[in-house]
This record gives sequence, C-alpha cells and structure tokens, in this order.
Amino acid sequence: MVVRQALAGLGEALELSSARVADLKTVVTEACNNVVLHAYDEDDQGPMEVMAFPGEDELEVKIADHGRGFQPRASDEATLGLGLPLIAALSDSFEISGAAGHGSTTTIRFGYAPPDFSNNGGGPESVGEDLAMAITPGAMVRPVLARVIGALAARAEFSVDRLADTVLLGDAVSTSGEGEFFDGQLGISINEDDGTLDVRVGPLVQGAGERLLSEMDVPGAGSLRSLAKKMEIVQGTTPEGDSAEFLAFEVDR
Amino acid sequence: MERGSFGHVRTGELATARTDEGLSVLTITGEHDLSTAPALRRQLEDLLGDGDGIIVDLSSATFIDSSILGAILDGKRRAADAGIGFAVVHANSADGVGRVLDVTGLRAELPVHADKQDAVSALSVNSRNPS
Repeated sequence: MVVRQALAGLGEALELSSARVADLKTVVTEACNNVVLHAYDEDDQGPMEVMAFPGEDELEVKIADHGRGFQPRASDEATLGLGLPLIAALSDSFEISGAAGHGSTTTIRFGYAPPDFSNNGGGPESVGEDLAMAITPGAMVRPVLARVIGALAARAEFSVDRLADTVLLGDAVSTSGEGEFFDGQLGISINEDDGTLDVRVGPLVQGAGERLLSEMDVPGAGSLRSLAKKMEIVQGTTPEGDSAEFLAFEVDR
Repeated sequence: MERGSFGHVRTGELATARTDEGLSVLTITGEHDLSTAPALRRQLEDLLGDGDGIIVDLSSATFIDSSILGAILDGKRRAADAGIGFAVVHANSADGVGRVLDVTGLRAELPVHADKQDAVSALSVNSRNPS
C-alpha cells in the first residue's frame, strides 16, 4: 500500500493521466505481491527494495528482494497467477532476473503514454476464429499480444490458470527483437479449435527458434516451455518462398 | 463493516446489505489488495453460508489487485458448487478497476454487470429457472 501510493504520487508528479497512474499502481502492486507471496517463507520475512528512475519517456521501476528466487509456475491460490500477465499487459516491458536462493529483481519499464490497443490488429473485439497479425517489435507487442491471446483463451473457456499460462507464453514470444523475423515484423497466427490454441510464430530467420526457446528458460526454475502442451520449431517458407522456420506451440484448457 | 485507513486514501471497506429480492450485496469500497483479501474471503464465506444469491459490487472500489480477483473468482466457484447465484457489478468501465477486469479477460468470464439492477435481474431469473 505504501509503495503503491508512493509510485502513484510520483506518477502524478510526472503528470501522467489518471488512467496511466492507475496502471502504474497495478503494475507495482503485482510486482510487490510476488515478493510478499513468493520471496520469503512465512516465518522468515526479509526486505523488499523499490527504486524508481524517471526518464524522458518512461519510468523504470526495480523491485528487489533477497529471498529464494522467482517461481515461474502460474498457478497460485491467492492471485490465480494473474499478477505477471497484468504486469506484462500494462507495462511496456519487464524482466525478472536472479537465481534460486539469491533473490530476484523485477525491472519494469513503464511508458508515460498509455498502450494504444487500437493499432496492430486491434483489441479482443476484433479477434476472429483464426487470427494472423504482424506487429513491429517494440513496446506495443506485449500488451497487444497479451490481450489477444488472453481474449482467445477466455473465449475457448480456458481456466484462469491456463489463461495466465497462455498469456505468459505470448509474453515470452513478444520479447524477440525485430532481427529475428523476416521483414522485421513479429508474425503470429493463432487458431482456436475445440479448447486448444495453436500458435505459430514466424517466419523466423534461421536459428531464431532456438534462441526463442532458450529465452524461455528461467534461471534456477525450469522453462516456460513446460506451460505448453507441445512446442517445437518447424520448417516452412515465407510468402516470398524463402526458407524459414516457425515456432509452433499448443496450449489446451 | 471491516475497514482500514491510509491518510486520504480509502482502503479496505467492505459492507453487506440485503435487497428486497432477498439477495446479499457485498459492496467493496476504496483500495483493496493482499492486505484486505483475507477479510473479503471471510465475508464471502459468511455469505455463502447464508445460502442466498450474492452480488459483489465493485462500483465504489478504486483499486483491486489480482488477490482480490482471486478471492472473487473463488467465491464464484464456491457459489456455483453450492448452487448459489453469484454476480459482479462494476459501473465504471473506464476506471482502473475496469481496466484490470478488461486486461485479465474477467469482465466476460465472471461476467460483470454494468449496474446492480441488471445483476439483481440476472440472479432473480436464474433462481426462477434453475439449470
């Protein structure tokens, strides 16, 4: 509560809109919740450090602990695993660093301008049965992809836990740089079929699939790949006929 | 009523009331997070024990986090298991609470009604036509 109000005050001082201040409060609260719920044992409380660095266009917030390290599994009785998807959707980017037993640091970059869901394929309302879109890698990818995948998963009647898992996977995909994609566009197609989402990311340049997979590893805690029913790199071609690879994965409810 | 305080910020207020239709209304006011989620869970547990339809009104809430969403979803699941009607109301879709409901996809999943009378009508119809 104290941290949330402090950051809200900072947001107001930076003349952020009320909606953006609300987003900032949510993002910071969820990051702090992760520390409160996961960093320390109940009988072994420890410190939480919160730092904020206002920049020209964005605010960088770091939330650090000295606990047992980040636990990536989305299922969580208290928050239902919604915390990280909320951070992903409302911030421009975030990353969690650290190792088991050595604490963790969540670094959030929070743009002063709110995410604009009217571009890059639109929000959930515009999503069809099958969705294909191309997004220029950058700040817009995370919120758009998180909302689109989240909306599709919700429509497929995924449980909240599986919805959170799916959004986490989409967020992991969205971390890729434009150099990994042909034409510098993050291409993604999603097919919803009887409770299963088939997601295909690409066309990717050769070798990018393996890099994407390795980026899903969380130090000391396994890989986000385990959240998918199946995940593999498949060979294919670009619309122009060039050889390319695709990252394909399935998530079911 | 359970409540807390933090300067000018309204925190942790929960209030219950009854409608003329015999439904329980749990009104959530101010800011709610991990610190107030246990109180919310207790209130929902008590209302579930009463066995009447439950309306959770978020219209006066100024902040909720994922722990509050978790408590509400848990309440909904328990109500469904017990055959008790359960509805959520949030009048202002443009505020911070509305944004959290939208981003998580829970506005559709719960579902969320735009005003209390809609929720009352929905629960009254369901009680007359149990599935």
